[in-house]
Amino acid sequence: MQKKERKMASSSSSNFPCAACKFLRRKCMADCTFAPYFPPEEPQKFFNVHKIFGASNVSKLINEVAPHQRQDTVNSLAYEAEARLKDPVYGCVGAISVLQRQVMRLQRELDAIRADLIRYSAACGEMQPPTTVGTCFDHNAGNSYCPDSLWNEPYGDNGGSYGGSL
Amino acid sequence: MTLKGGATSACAACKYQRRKCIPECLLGPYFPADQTKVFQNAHKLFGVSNIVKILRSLDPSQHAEAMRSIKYQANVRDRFPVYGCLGVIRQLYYQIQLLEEELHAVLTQLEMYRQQQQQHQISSMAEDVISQLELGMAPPTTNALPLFNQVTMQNPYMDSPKENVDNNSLWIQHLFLDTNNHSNDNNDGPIAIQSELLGDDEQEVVYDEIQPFFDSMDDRQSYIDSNSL
Repeated sequence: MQKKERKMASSSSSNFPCAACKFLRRKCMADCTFAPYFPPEEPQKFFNVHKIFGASNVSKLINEVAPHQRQDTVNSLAYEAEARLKDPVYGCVGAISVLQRQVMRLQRELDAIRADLIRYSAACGEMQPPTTVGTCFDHNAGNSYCPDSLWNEPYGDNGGSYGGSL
Repeated sequence: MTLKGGATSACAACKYQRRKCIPECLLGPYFPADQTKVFQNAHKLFGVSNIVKILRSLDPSQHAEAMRSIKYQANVRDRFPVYGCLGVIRQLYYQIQLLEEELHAVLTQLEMYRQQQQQHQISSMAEDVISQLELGMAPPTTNALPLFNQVTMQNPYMDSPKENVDNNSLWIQHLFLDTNNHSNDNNDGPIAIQSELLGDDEQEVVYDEIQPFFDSMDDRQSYIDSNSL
């Protein structure tokens, strides 16, 4: 009876192991790193991150961020893991590429229409000039929209040679 | 491969693991000795064994592209430890939204300009007719028709590009909204949308175009407040 009580006391407070401990077949302790972020009703979430990143890597990544950011960290890792499982070659980077191309296409379209607008206003000089549409962002301004490419910047041993400031 | 005399050095992966780098080393071509930071990022996120597993599950012709995406993903995660690539995707979505709004505003303005011009042309035509009638001249018969044909001409900018943008924005909206409701049972989740976005003819990722967004993205602050999105 005492052994049973001791066993129950050492498991998680809810007596249900989290998805991680269930998968890893170990006791889910009260201070389990994974328990708050991998509930037992979402086993696939842990399975995916474990398959792609590994439980110990995930644990280290979780512990490196502030407690209030850990849920977001886990969710983003789960998203990336699922993307990598569906597309082992590109993972979630494929979506980034598609969206980036769309941004460039929209920007080109906007530039073309603005050029048309300027031509129109020049041709119809006696009419009221159009009001200038505020630029939401300027891709030529070297601001956050178009920083240096992470892709083309090699890392040196000083660890800080890639574009932008950390 | 380390030789006596130091002709060539081990790759960053083998150097880290303190083992002999053989010519057939799977990671050697992708982690040269001078890119230790890149390897450290990849190792921190994936781990060597997981990277090797991914490569072994692929055709050798796909190894280069897979490694580029792995390195990219790891570097972004190093830069943005909380959101990683998901943060980049959200930022891109936000920028697309802004661009679409701006495009719509400019198109509306252009349309107003055209209508204004057409009305101006009609009124000047009408003034010509009236003045000619007053002078006792015959009114024009065929000159008015081309003008009205121009009025009814369709605006090329209001057709398919806007439609395509709307369609794409809906897809991306689903991608954006579903990332917080990460559900394993949802077949229409973000990954399904991602494969729709890729389409059949856009299989290759052009990495030179990928420009992640550093300066505006404060991993520690901005997305905490944007959780309501």
